[in-house]
Amino acid sequence: MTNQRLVVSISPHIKNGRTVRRMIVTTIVALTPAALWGFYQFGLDALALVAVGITAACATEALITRMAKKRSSLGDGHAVLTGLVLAMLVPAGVPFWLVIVGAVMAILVGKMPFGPLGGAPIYPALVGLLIVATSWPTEIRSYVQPTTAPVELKAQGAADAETPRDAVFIDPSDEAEYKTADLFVGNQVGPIGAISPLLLLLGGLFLILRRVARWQAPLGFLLGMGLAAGIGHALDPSGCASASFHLFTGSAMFGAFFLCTDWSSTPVTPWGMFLFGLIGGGLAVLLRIAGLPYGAVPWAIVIMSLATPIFDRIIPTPFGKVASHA
Amino acid sequence: MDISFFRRGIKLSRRARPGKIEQIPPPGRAVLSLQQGSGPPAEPSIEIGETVKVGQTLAQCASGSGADLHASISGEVTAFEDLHFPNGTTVKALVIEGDGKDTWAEPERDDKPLTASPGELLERIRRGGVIREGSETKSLAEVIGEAMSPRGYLSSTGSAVAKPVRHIAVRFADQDPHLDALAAMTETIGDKTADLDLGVKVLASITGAEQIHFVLDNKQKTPGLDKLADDNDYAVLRLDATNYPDLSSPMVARAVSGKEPDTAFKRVHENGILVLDVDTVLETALAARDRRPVVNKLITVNGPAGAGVFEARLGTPLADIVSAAGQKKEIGKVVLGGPMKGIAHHNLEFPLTKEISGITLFSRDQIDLAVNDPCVGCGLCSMVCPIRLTPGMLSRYCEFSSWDLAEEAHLFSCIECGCCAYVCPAGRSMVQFMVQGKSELLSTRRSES
Repeated sequence: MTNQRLVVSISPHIKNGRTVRRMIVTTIVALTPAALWGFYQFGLDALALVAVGITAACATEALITRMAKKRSSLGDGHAVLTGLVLAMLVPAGVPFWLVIVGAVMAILVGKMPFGPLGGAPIYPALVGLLIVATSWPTEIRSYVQPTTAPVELKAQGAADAETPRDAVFIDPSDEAEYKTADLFVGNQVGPIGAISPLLLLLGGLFLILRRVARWQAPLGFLLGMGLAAGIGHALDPSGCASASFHLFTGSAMFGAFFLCTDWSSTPVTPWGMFLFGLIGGGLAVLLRIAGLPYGAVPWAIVIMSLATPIFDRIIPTPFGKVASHA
Repeated sequence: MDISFFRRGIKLSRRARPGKIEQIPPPGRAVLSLQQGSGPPAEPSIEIGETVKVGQTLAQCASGSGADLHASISGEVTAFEDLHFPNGTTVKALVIEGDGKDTWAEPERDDKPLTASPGELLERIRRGGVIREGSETKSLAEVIGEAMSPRGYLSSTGSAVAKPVRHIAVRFADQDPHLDALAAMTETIGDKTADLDLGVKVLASITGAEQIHFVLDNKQKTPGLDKLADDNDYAVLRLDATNYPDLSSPMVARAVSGKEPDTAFKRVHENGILVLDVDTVLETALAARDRRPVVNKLITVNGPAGAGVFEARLGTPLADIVSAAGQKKEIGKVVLGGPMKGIAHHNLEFPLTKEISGITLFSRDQIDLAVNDPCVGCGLCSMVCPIRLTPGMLSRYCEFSSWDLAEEAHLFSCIECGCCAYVCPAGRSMVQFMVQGKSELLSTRRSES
């Protein structure tokens, strides 16, 4: 026996160096172009709201881990991501306190009660967002006219403004006023970080290529929305806008790539993810047609998240096994 | 239907191939474990104080999955010693004090081994102590003996294990691209192609296999092998060894037959495909023709000071091999095998045994200590799992002792390749959870039956 001390552990003895922190940083990087576009369109107010959201989320998490005498979890960056996503999903005209309450709720109610990262059954930022959206339904719709949008907001005053989506649901004939190309590039009214489907699409593809997100859920979601809206539009053009309109407005693209691909609140199996997205997308269109005044996409994804454990049971047939017909 | 589309498994870098094999001189003192492979220990057939020659039988296994043991140096058997294996078991070992002469036993040579009956050949392989490395390292005679007399007996897991062998796939590169021993052997195979051919024919004669496949890494240049394959109608299959675990037995079996074998319960040759390493085939040839038992082992030494392939006598202390390889930097971790599937050992004085295919060394600053954070549910493991399991879910079932749920989610299909743990951002010891779950389930089942 030598007196040299050796470490023992289970195989494998090498790793690819991927960490939770690095994956979250990648997600934040993927969101950055859309956020910057929002700052350009809505000015310093938008930047300030995002900063406030991130600060509030981090402060809440630091406070709670300290009170619970747990190791601080700020280092993984999830609190930053939560604050960022929350602020990107609200319009630029909302009061600061609304974002603060939302971020505090996201961490306090949506994340921390479920233990460490990975336990939350619903995406924490959505919990915060829907709590404030339900509590202050007027304030949450404080849309602001973007710098480059070709179509003027209909009503004056932030509190009464409408997104193109609302405009259509109020009067579907307005759809003709919007050019699909404008909507796609991001010349439209909407939440700070969700107005540019193009940049969100690029960010989402980046996430998929970096293997942080999987393609099944986003594809399913966009397909579900497209199909539901396409069928709805064919049946009743005045009651339901076209598929492209649904896909390029509101937080549809944001939801597909950044909410449907969350880790803990969505399934992990290929078919589970696809069906989760497909049904979620259909549900989002239904909620929009039904006239939900705000947050059809977030609500649809939250409802689907509750069914995640069911989708997670759709496991692939393992290697060499015959598919069971049970 | 699988809608993953991304290639499963992981991409590992290829190390510079040494391409030559260095000989390590016989040690002055050899410690030979009575247990070689996962079978039961062999029964010693000699007494303490006897003088032995190289290749002389020291211990035998009457039947079963254990392998016979032979003297690897000439000298005097001086003692029995306790040997602590990395899996926690303690096994008796024989100690030979060398006389420095290296005299070999001279068994009767058979120049026409292919005229012998399959039963006789099988007996020679058993007596030669040839083993087959794999997820369960067993005596080769035991593995192919099953095929010769297919009786559908039940194992402790309740599944029939005997199946006829139709294909033999000979693997010319290690499944872990960080191990080079088989590739180096293939590169220097030269005049041993005749032995290779004989080994393959002996195995085909015993098992009745109809088709032989040579499985090569796509970067290997092997004109000699190509000619041999051409002359004998052996199929040649080239795979990319950096796509881990494409060279593991189940993946090779799929590549050969186009059908996926069931990986549950470590079945050895489901689908009638037997996957063997090239060194096993060469040992088979020597055992059948020269009646020369296994006393050498080819191993890769991979560490901070670079990589090398060495041939050493069984029972050589690993520390001797490591210092011969020039690995002088302070070592923090010793892994027997490759970095993906090897098992860490606490003691470098451990002797070389037949199942050690390599030594991977890590310096202190290269060691990743386990983090084992809770699963974040990112799903990367489900994406890379070559068996299409949901490892994250399985690890959670095992973490919280929900063994039945784990079994329902096909825990037993896991081949413990380690891809999930390799990518896990939370640093979970995935393989640990899987192994623990399997052993819990099997021990419950044994106590019930």
